[in-house]
Amino acid sequence: MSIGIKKNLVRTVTESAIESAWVQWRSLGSLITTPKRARSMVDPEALVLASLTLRDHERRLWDVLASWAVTGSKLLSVQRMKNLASKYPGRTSDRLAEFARIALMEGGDHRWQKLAGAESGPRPRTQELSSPGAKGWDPAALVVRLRLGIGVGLQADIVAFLLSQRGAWASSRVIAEATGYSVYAIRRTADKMAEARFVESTANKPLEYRADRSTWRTVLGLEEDVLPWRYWFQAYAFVADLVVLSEDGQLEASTKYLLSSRLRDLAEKHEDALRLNRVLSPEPRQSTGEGYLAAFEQVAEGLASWMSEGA
Amino acid sequence: MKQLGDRQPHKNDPAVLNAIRAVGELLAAEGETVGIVVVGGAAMILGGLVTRLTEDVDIIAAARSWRKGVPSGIAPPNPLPESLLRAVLRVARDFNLPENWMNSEVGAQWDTGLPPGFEKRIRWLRFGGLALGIADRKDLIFLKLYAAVDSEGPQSVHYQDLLGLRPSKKELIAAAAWAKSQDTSAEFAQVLEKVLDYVHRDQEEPR
Repeated sequence: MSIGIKKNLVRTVTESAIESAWVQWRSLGSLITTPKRARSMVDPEALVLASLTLRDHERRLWDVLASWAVTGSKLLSVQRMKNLASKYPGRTSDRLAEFARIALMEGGDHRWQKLAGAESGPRPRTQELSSPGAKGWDPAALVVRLRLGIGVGLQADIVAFLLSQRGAWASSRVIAEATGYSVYAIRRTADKMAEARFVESTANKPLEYRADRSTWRTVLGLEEDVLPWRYWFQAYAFVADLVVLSEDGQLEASTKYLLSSRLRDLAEKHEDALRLNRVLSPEPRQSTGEGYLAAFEQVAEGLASWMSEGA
Repeated sequence: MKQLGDRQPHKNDPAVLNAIRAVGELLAAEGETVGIVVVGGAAMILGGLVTRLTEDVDIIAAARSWRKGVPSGIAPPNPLPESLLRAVLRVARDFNLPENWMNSEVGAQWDTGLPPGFEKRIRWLRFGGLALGIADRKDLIFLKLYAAVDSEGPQSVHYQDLLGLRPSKKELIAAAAWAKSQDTSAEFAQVLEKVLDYVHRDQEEPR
């Protein structure tokens, strides 16, 4: 007899992730209607990777992705996509190769050459996606907007993250953790930006950076406060692993203990998603052996709630 | 060899038994079978001889050969199989145990020898992919007396375990003779006499 986790648990997480993805795609110009508005900054690469993982659960995600590959792929960082994809299941990377092929062949974006596969994936049903700024920029699309304005790369992402900190100082390590770039690359770029007075830096070690809110609000014409940064690529990577394990029947085991140990692996691997996003979840060491099964349910429920509340 | 049967879980099982069972499940999931023989507190608990808490499992031997799925010979435990070491580390994480909760340090006993007939008295239990041999009470008395003398004497947990085994005078005499063969120094003999005196006194006094 095989033991599995509650069936509706994975479904709850999957549905929350799909809902979050819709809210975020809407802020990037998707015509899909959803009653919610994004309440945190969209991480475009994380959104693509999550949507690729979830496309079998919501076909329209692929339709949007295929459209974005043609019209918006130039606003994505290929290097960052490659970095982040390594934290996602192999299935996500396989589908990324299909996305990259569309970006290359139909979008004419040759940066995707090195990620492109031989196939373009399932045929999308529609390719309608308006420009992110067509109806005025959604505050959640700040990363994409900055990339459009100052170029795809670390500079735009550093500014976006620092603005989300609302005047607080952030070290290069903190920025690297949020963006997925290396600490060295962040420090090198942020130092140059500080020299150019795009951001401020502390004079003494530890070196920290911040963006002047009022100046950037004027430059960008922001009427609302910059939305908070949430660690979406870490959270979506957790969801992706959970979904793929479930699809592959890996969330079943011959004993409760074996299943609990496997789930502990999963939560341990994605500990940063829980820690950085302050997802309500029990301390793993408080549950021993198969007792972790109940604790993991709380982790998954916490993650689903976090996505529903904060997309 | 005594009976080798699958040990079924019970709600009142001691924590160390749950950890051992988990090791067996992990080995079975990997398609591995490992046989080990344990002594010390874990063996006493599994043998129903004491109820004290322990998280240490001392491996004194490993199965050397198998006959029809049953261990048919033992050998020094080192090096322990990789599959067992992996399982022990995983269980340590999953049960909040020290990484060396199951270890083979006591395997050094092979350098001077095991109590005579040790192997024949082993009782085997099966936990998934783990065949666990439990040393007989007689052997535990031998080893505990030796360990009590070799450590801090009457203050040690080994001494308390020895009392828990309720050895008879005859058993103590036999154990003392074997212990002397392990260490022939005069100092050891002195401490041995002291420990035996304590055992006699403590067994006579109501505890």
